[in-house]
This record gives sequence, C-alpha cells and structure tokens, in this order.
Amino acid sequence: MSYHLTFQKSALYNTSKEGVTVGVRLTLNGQSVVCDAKIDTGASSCIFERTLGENLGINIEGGLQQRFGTVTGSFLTYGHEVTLSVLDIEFDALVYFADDESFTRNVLGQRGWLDRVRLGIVDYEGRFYLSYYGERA
Amino acid sequence: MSAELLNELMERAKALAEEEKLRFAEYLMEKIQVRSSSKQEQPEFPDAVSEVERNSESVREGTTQDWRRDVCLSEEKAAHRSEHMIWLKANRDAYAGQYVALDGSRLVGTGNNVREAEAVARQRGVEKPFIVYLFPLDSIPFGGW
Repeated sequence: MSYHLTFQKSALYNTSKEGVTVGVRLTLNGQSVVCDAKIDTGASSCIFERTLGENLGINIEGGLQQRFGTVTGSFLTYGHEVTLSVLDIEFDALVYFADDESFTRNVLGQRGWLDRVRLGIVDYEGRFYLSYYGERA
Repeated sequence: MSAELLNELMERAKALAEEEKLRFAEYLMEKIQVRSSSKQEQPEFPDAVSEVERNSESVREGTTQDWRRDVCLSEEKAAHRSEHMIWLKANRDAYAGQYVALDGSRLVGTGNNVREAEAVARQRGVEKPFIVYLFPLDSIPFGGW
C-alpha cells in the first residue's frame, strides 16, 4: 500500500546548517520581523528570542508566563499572540519569547505550528513541503 | 513643502508611540480628505479636470477608505488580542492540558487537539477562533534542541 500527500508549498533548506532551518515572519500590529527558525518536532511549542518580540513592540513580561525544559535545565518565557508565517502560510498563534536576552534560538514546535499544518521533509533533497491543515493543495 | 521638512517630519515621527503614530496618520489623512472634498466643491477649472486627475482622486479616495478599513481591522484585532491574553491568564488553571478556542473574551470551544476545539467553535458560529494549548501550570514542557 502506498500513501500520497499533497502540499500547497515547497522550498529548499540549507542542509549545510544544523537541523531543518526555515524562514519565519512574525507580525503584530502591522509590523513584521523575520528570522530563521528550526523545525523541531520534539519541541512543545514555538519559542523565539526576546529581541524579536521587542522589535514587534511587545512588552515581553506582559505575556503568559511559561517555563520550558532542555536537556540541561530550564528557561523562562512569556507567551504572546502574533501572526506566524512560513512560506506565506500564516495564522495567529501563541508563541513564546525567551526572558533571557542571551537565548538566541528560534524554534517551530508542536503547539502553535505543527498542530495546524501538514509538513513533509525530504532531508536527502534538502526540501520541505507545507500546507495549512484546513487547505487543499 | 521642501524635501528636508518632509524628511524631518518622517524622522521625528519615528519617535512617536504606536498609538501616537496612528493619531498622526489619521490627522494627515483627514487633511487630505478635506483638501480633496474642498476641491470637489469649488473646482477652479472644472472643465479642465483631466481624466488622469479624476482617476487619481478616486484612487486616493479608495486608498483612504482602504487605510481606514485596515486601521479599524487592526484596532479590532488588537482589542481581541488583549481580551485573549486576559482570558488566558485568568483561566489557564481551569483549562490546563487542553486546547481552548477563543473569540475575544468568549470561550467558544475546547478539545484535546486543534481539530476538536475548532469543530466546537464552528458549531457555535465562530469560523476563525484563536486556538491555544494551555500547558499545565506545574509542567515544564520540552523547549527543543
């Protein structure tokens, strides 16, 4: 038996970088910031560096406080509603901004992104495929 | 107006807060509209109004309407975001471990996944709810690599 999936969008990613790194745009009140983020199916949520939120005019500490764990410890974040866009597939989601300015990782995780898209990765080709779950390709 | 003055105004506007920028933009758009409508009332050379000018007036009017609509939508969305955040902070304990679908300050659905929460919201007539998963307060979910 074979299975077929169709997707709205596809793009190449740079296989010389660690992980699957894709371009992300965060938008709030007409202002946008762009960054690279790792697709991380093991991450519970979407987490971004603090400065990205600040550049959107967000009062970081005014958000929903949440601590996340890593293999070596934990770190504090604050959740805020923004419009999250990858390959122009966008929706509003609660994403978390790190409290610590030295945290410089951006992650697309399960809650807020993976839970509402269909994603295909062919690392051999350095290509990923993406659709909003509710949309047909 | 000189280019220097225009540049200075734009540069100084950067220092304004978001709300002040909106007020300033609204003020400018009102001035443009006043000028536009006074032109219509007392045209200096009514017969000389070219097709190009008439078109540019209608484009400007359209732009103004689009801009006002965008501002209204943006303000509405910002108000909804504030309501979402207030609701989430007040209710995260009660709905921890679930997805919630919000429409402003109203809870319109819950579920174990996005699909369930969205389906309940749609049954209640809300096509595009804001959907969030609420982590249990005492949990420390994995933050990734």
